[in-house]
Amino acid sequence: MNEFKDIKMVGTDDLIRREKEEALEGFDEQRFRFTLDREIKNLAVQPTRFFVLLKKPVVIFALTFLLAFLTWAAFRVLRPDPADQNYLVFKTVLAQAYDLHKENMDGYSSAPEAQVESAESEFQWALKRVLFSIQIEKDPLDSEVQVFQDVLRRSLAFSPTEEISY
Amino acid sequence: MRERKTDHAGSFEGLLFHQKKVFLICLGFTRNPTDAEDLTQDIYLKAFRRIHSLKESRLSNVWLYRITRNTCLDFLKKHRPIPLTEDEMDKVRLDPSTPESNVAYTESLRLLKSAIHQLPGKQREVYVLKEYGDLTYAEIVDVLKIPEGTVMSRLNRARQAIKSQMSRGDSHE
Repeated sequence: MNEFKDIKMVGTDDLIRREKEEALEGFDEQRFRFTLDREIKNLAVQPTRFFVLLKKPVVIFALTFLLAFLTWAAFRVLRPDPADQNYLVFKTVLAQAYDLHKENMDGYSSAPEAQVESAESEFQWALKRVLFSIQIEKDPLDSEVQVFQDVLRRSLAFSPTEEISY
Repeated sequence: MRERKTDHAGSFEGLLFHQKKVFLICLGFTRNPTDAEDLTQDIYLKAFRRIHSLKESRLSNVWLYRITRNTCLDFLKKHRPIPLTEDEMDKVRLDPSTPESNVAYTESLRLLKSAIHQLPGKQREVYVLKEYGDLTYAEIVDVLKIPEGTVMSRLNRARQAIKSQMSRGDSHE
């Protein structure tokens, strides 16, 4: 039993027109504007999306992990190279040695020139021996050798009559 | 020629003239006045947030309709329309206070909505923009960025499909 058998279907255009009219009757423009204005005002006081995201535990965890990773990476990148650390040690040791040598040279100021040259030469040879002993090692670090060469070059350039500038 | 930035506040006020059309387009997509009103609110909030990106005020209505179409499609992705069940229809049928013409209207409307829902997406959006939003062909061309001939053919196919669906439903009853 079906009551619709004899009921003629309404035309599509009429249906849409009637549906639209009924929907518009229920659409209160003033209420719409009021709600919209309120929502727009709320937008102004709402925290930005970034701060809203920060309230989510997953985001906090992800940011913490990212921060930890960046810190670790920065530590790896910025940490001084072992060779650089050696450079500093060698530089300090040789600077001390040079200072000691300079004090000794000052003691030779009144000594004959041959004696001064002899002391100078002794220091140079001492440095050369150190350098040579490093160079004949199986796996010398290039940077270490370079450090010694640099310091040695400066030491060899030393002349008792010249001012030393570090 | 350099495009001039429009006065945003003025542009937004101008957009409010189209609120009924926006509401009706939403109605066509959602088939539910309550959802349509909620969506219209969402659309205007989106428009308010993005009004700075509007370069030419003369295209503001097209821009708004594009937001409307995209928002409705997003809504449909999340909320698949549920067709009325036979039980729900029986309630209408058995209500003695419901005049026959109203029953016919309700049943026809159900069929129409079902037919619109079953349309392919591209035909459906053209049909809704034209029949519910009363947009001109030129406006639909701008909103969907397709040639006018395509708009016409899709609309024609959509109308035929709906007519066929409606007559099938009619004979089925």
